[in-house]
Amino acid sequence: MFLDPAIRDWVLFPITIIMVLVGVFRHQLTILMTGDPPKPELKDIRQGKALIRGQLLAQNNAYLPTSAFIERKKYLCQAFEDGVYLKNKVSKDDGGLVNPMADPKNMEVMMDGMKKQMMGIVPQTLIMGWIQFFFSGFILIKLPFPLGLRFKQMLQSGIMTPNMDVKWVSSLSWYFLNLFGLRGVFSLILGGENAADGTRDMTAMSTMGAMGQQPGQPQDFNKQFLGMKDTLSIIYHEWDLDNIEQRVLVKYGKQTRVFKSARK
Amino acid sequence: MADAQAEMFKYFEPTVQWNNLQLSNIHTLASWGIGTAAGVLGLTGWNGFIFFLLNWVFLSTLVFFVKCQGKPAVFFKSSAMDIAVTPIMNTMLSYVLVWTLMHALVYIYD
Repeated sequence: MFLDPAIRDWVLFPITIIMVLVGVFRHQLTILMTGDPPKPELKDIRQGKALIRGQLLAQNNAYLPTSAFIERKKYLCQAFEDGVYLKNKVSKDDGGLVNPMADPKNMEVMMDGMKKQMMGIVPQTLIMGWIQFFFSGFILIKLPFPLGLRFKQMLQSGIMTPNMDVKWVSSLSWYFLNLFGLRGVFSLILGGENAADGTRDMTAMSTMGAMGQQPGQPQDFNKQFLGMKDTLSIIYHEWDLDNIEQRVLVKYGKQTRVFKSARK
Repeated sequence: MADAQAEMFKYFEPTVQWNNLQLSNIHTLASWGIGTAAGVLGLTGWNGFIFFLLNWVFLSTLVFFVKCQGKPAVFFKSSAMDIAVTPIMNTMLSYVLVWTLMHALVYIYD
């Protein structure tokens, strides 16, 4: 069976070209719309870095001599307990989490995320509606590979012939083919990180529902500081370079064995 | 402990991303070429997919020996799996699109 070449000229190519152009358009629009990321505040950073400093001390305690380690441990534990590094001093007494809605910085981040989602969903819906409206009721293309009968209803939506092979499909299925297949083309044209990927928005939509209301968990730093303090206080410290001079001598055979130093 | 940290710092993230981008470009272009070939040749059904898999194996071997010089762990984080197995779904979708398009252009339209 052959199809009229006019279908090819006026349906096949236009759908593909439109999808590519809309993708590029969406990418540029997303770049324009997302402003600069919000500048992090000094106290925020200090909080996080203080915690990291505690972690580093705990991880690398073997590289420090005992006296140095004890000094650092004392200072950090005291600071954590007093809440010197906390962003909001009052939260230590409240013992509660800062309301994520009230935090102005968070609002901007959430608005940006929602805007990005709109950019993803709206063009897809528009194009699907446009295709359904203009290009329905006729066969567009033949798939070279067979599909199950279940797909017949979805892919031959406008055509009322029950006996036709599932391989002959309508324009909506061409839309889906393009949706999945043009991702490679977009990454060629627009570079790696592009906002023109329609399927990524679909997966984002499905995970948004599963994630719940709080996408960015506000961490209770006070609890983490106290936990870090506990971790630090129970570390058994051993300096790697302890007795190193004796170990070197033993290695080169100038001394028979390591004598336990009185210092320890 | 030192090992875990060394693992974290073994790869410089921007170059890893660049490598992945290049690999993805290779796969996209190859899928367009192979898709055109399959469509023009008139392959249908399972033949088309077998053709794709054969070419995929060939392409992966080429990438492995010529581009990565036999040592993919230097260029990619999870070495051989990253080259051959992870991108296969994406490339296959692209291939199916081009294969359908070319097949239709040559055989279905007058």
